[in-house]
Amino acid sequence: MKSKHYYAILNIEPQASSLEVLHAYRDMKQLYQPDSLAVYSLYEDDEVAILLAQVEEAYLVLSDADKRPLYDIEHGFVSSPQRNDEADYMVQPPPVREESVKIIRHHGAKPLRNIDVPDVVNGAVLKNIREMQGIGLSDIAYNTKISMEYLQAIEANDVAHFPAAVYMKSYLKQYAESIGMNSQLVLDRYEALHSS
Amino acid sequence: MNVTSKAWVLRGGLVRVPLIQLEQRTSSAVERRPYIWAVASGKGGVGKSFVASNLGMALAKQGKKVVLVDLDLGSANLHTCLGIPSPKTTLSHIIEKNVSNMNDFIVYGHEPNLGLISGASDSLHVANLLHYQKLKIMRNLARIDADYIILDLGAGTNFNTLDFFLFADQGLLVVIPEPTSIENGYRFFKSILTRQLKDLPAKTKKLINQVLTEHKNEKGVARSFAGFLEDMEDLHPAHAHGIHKVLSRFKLNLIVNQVIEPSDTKLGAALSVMFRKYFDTPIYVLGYLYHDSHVLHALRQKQAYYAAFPQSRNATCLERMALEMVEQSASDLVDTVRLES
Ligand SMILES: Nc1ncnc2c1ncn2[C@@H]1O[C@H](COP(=O)(O)OP(=O)(O)O)[C@@H](O)[C@H]1O
Ligand SMILES: [Mg+2]
Repeated sequence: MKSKHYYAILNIEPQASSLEVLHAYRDMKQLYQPDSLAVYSLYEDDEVAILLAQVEEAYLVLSDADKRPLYDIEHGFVSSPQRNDEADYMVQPPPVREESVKIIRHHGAKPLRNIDVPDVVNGAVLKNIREMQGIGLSDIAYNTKISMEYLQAIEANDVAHFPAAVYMKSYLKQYAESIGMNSQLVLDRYEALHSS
Repeated sequence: MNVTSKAWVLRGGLVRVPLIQLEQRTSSAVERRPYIWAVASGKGGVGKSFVASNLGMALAKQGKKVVLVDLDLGSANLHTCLGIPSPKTTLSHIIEKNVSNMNDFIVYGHEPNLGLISGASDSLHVANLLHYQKLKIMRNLARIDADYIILDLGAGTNFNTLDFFLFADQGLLVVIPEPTSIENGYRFFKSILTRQLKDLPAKTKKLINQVLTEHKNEKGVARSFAGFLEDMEDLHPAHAHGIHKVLSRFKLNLIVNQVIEPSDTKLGAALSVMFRKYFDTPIYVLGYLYHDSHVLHALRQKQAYYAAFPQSRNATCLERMALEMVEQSASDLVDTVRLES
């Protein structure tokens, strides 16, 4: 039911910034206080308690920079780079190219596997696609045994950080696979590998 | 100021066009008729007449031609709020004497732009108006020579009151920060909702009535009319569509009167959220008015409050709300023009 979505529960748009989420949470909590006039005669006390619990649940997810993108993907909402006010984010995701955003939205609520590879790939694009799926860098480090330092270098387009290009290519391949992308295409299109 | 370049989007995605453009368009496209606002509350004594009379005053001061109509037949006192002595000709005379032109029965106080058709009478109660009498009043209201008509409706939810509310272009609900007033405000809206949905199949109507009156929570779910509508969309899409159409036609506005605590000023916004969430219906918050002991002073001095205390903070609130009313009316008329052309 659409009214059960967290955004509807907090009475905000899916594009709401994190500050707007916070304000909405405070307002909705106020609305469902036991002495609130606005709910008087519409709901019984036990119903108001349920509504209040829903508000808490929604806020717990939507205020969490990791959980919210995951929730968005699962429910087919717009991804975070489109939010009203990126500046509100404590950790601001890097700007992402149009293409990759489109891909993410295109896949909607389904789990993101076999993601189309954009014509141009760079660290920011990869990071965004990774975050959209709620995959942490440490998850990749754990699965691939690649150190965090090198994973961060991939996302920072920092080719010079690797002892040799062959290492970078090998790590990049594994990185790409662990976020559901065709590794050969990523290798071919990763800008920093071809620019110098 | 270059007004013509300005157009902005209003609720429901309607485009608002500035007044100047509107006047050019309306004069050619549709016949001039008054724009009608109905003021209701469900509960008596919250300040309907106070709000109606002073909004009328504020509109008149902005150069609009306004006629107030006291439809609180049975306990009409709008003339008192305006400081006009009890008029000799009233609505009940008009009905009984078979008058066809209401314009002759408008009485005026100190403000030349603000007229009144009084309802003061012992012989008539609005609930007892016969169907044809109600229609006659409605027909004649549309012929009144004014920019705005403000209907002061009585308390309660009798069919005639509901029908006048539904007849108006815009409905204005007045509440005060008190549980009983809120309860009656919601009850009033439920009543106009059921009245407006009277053509639905009996089975659906019965369901709606249950939702609106019982709202017991089943399986840990808080029931609401909006939730019921969502279920309907799956079960009977056609009925759901019909109800949505009815809901989208409502033009509801809200004023919170007699605000005392600072937190009361937020009540309007909270109610608006609940209208959306519970009824799936938007209600526009026109504003709030403070509780002010000078209201009583003005009454004793036989003066309209707005005229007697033009420097009060309520006067500022009233002016702002009157401007809003003009804007809303204008945008609505533009839409009408668009529909008719
Ligand atoms: N904002 C206000 N501050 C102080 N008194 C008010 C205010 N609004 C209304 N009143 C008083 O409350 C009483 C009821 O108001 P009235 O307009 O007659 O209500 P209604 O028309 O809804 O029955 C009147 O005595 C009026 O003067
Ligand atoms: Mg009254």
